[in-house]
Amino acid sequence: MAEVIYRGFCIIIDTIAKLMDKIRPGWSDRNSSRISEWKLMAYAYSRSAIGIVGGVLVSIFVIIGIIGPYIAFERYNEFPASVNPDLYFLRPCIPPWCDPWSENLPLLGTDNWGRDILSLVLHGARISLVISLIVVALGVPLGIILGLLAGYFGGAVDEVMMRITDVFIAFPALILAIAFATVLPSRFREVLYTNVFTREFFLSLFALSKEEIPQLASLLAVIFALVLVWWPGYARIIRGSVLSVKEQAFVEAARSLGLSTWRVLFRHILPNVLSPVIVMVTFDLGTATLLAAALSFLGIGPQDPVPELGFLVSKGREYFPDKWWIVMFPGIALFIIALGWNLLGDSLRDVLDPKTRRSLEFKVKGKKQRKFKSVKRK
Amino acid sequence: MSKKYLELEPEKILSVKDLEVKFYTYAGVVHAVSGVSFDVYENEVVALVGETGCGKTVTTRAITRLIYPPGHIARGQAIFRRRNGTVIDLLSISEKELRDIRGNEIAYIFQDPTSALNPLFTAGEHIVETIVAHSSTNRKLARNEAIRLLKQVLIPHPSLRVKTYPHELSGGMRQRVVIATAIANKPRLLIADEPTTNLDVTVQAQILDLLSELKKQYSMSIILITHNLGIVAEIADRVYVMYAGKIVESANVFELFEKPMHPYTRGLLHALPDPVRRIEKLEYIPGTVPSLINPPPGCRFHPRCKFAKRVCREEPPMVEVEPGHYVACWLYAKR
Repeated sequence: MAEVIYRGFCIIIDTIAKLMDKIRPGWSDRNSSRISEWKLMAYAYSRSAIGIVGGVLVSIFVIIGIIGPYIAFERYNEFPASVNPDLYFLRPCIPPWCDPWSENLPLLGTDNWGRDILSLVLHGARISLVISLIVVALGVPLGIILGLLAGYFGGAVDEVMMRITDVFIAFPALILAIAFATVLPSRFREVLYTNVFTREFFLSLFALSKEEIPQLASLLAVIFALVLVWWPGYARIIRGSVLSVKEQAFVEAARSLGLSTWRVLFRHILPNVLSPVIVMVTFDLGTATLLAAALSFLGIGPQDPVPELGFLVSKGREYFPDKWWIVMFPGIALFIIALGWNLLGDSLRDVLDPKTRRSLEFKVKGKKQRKFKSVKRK
Repeated sequence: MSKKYLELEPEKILSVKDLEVKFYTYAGVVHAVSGVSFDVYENEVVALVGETGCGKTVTTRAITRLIYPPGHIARGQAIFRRRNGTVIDLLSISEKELRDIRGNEIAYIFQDPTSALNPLFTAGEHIVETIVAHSSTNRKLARNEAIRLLKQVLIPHPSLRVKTYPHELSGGMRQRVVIATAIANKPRLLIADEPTTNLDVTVQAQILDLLSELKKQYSMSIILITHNLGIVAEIADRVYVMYAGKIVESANVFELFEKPMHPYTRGLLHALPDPVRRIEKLEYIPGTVPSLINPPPGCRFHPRCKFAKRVCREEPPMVEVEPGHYVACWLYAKR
């Protein structure tokens, strides 16, 4: 199994190298050490069972997040029970005990409006994916930039920025997010009603229909609130790394070579402090999903009929434990998402760390050892 | 604002006058460099000698204002003649102008080649970046130039080595890469801060040969910081001896080794083991370097000096004992 995965990665890497060679002739020759390093990474990754499980879970989630709303056979805003009252609270029909095809029953049951839970979960996955990606994509760079500036310039800049960060960290993140998420929606609603482009963009991003603009506003409010509570952790970590990196001789050497402050900051310091962030991002993609779900569970996020996973759980609460499936399946989806990202992050930490990666290389015996060394002497 | 009229003798390239650098620490103000003046002529190797912590490095860093808080350049002038002939004071020009000079007309070689290279940059990228930062060349031409420079600093297979990362190179190779980066823009003044300290002796000799070779080729001046008198004898033309943040003696290299005047210089030369004689015990200078927070008044060497007199508690004058040979010591002052 591991061998197959490793082979697969090698094929991908070789294809990339060939493509780059076509775009810029001689690329793979110049970057032979980089390619062999990539292969070693692929090897290290393929040997970690945790990483593979995480990777599989995450890729399932991402694929469902992308195509989910299109393969869901029912729209979330259709209410079959209003046409046929028999469709209320249908029990889940899971294959070994019951055959959904012949009996024509929903696989994961239906909710109080007769909506198919599977379709709702498929759609919910998209919403969760988009939320976590936007939160991380906005929150992390913000934290990184503020941390870089604070760490590099020091003095008053550092003091002011870090005290603000402290305030944000000292305040419970969930409470702060609740506060933001309650205040913000009205502003977002105005923007969404006036600005057609933004509206269409976000509607298609979440695969929501036009009637849900107020719900979209509260979704955006949740995202914005999460971004606001997300950056301080990164700012602190980056600042700490910058403090140690900026004292290293190569930074001073770069300054003595007459490079501008921005060049030193972004070309020399940033790449050297980035590696812990990559791992943290994978963990945080899971955490952001969970926190967003927690906000909607508390009723701050979007309301009916938007199938946000946290909100589905919160709604199913009323019928629990009799109609357990309404809570159970969105909950399992959230669980899988969080588990997947965490397992993936855990293995990436080992794979991306050159030291543990090296130690793996030494363990490899015989034929494989030659594979990593792409020595090309002329 | 009227521009100050600066003067520099035509054969000089750099003239540092009355430089004073202080560090404001919790323990107190450290007078790292107090009133240092020295000159560098075109095409010469000037050695700055002294024991650890005497302010050699700080002096040279201060020349291009590479002093960061808590450090502070309290006063002084560093008059430099640029490539285009204009004479400027490095300590009072704008940061932008200074950045244009750093790495371009004045370049540094730092003492530890292991940490002076960014671990995420290849050897070539270091050089390319330096070239691109100071000229309008494109990266491709700069890369060819990088290969040429690596060849010049005697790195085998330069076209292969240009894409290796620092961790793939040996210490001597790394120092060569650092040197190649420093000379990338053909600087007029190269400041080599203990360039051979972390290298073994055979590599040291190679690096020194390389430096003097490059000096001839590019007709640049070199300020060499070292505490190794062997290296000084090997390549320096003139020597400044520093003690506790002050220059105590300066002379032509032959003159200094023949007739050291200052008791500290004498002690330093005396402490060199003579390979010919059998030595019972190594010579040393008694005492330790004074704390620069509270330096002794007058001549800073007097607490350790066997010739110390009462007058030594006053500031000694710089005396020219012979043409070009200056000593700051009361023994030679006419009173």
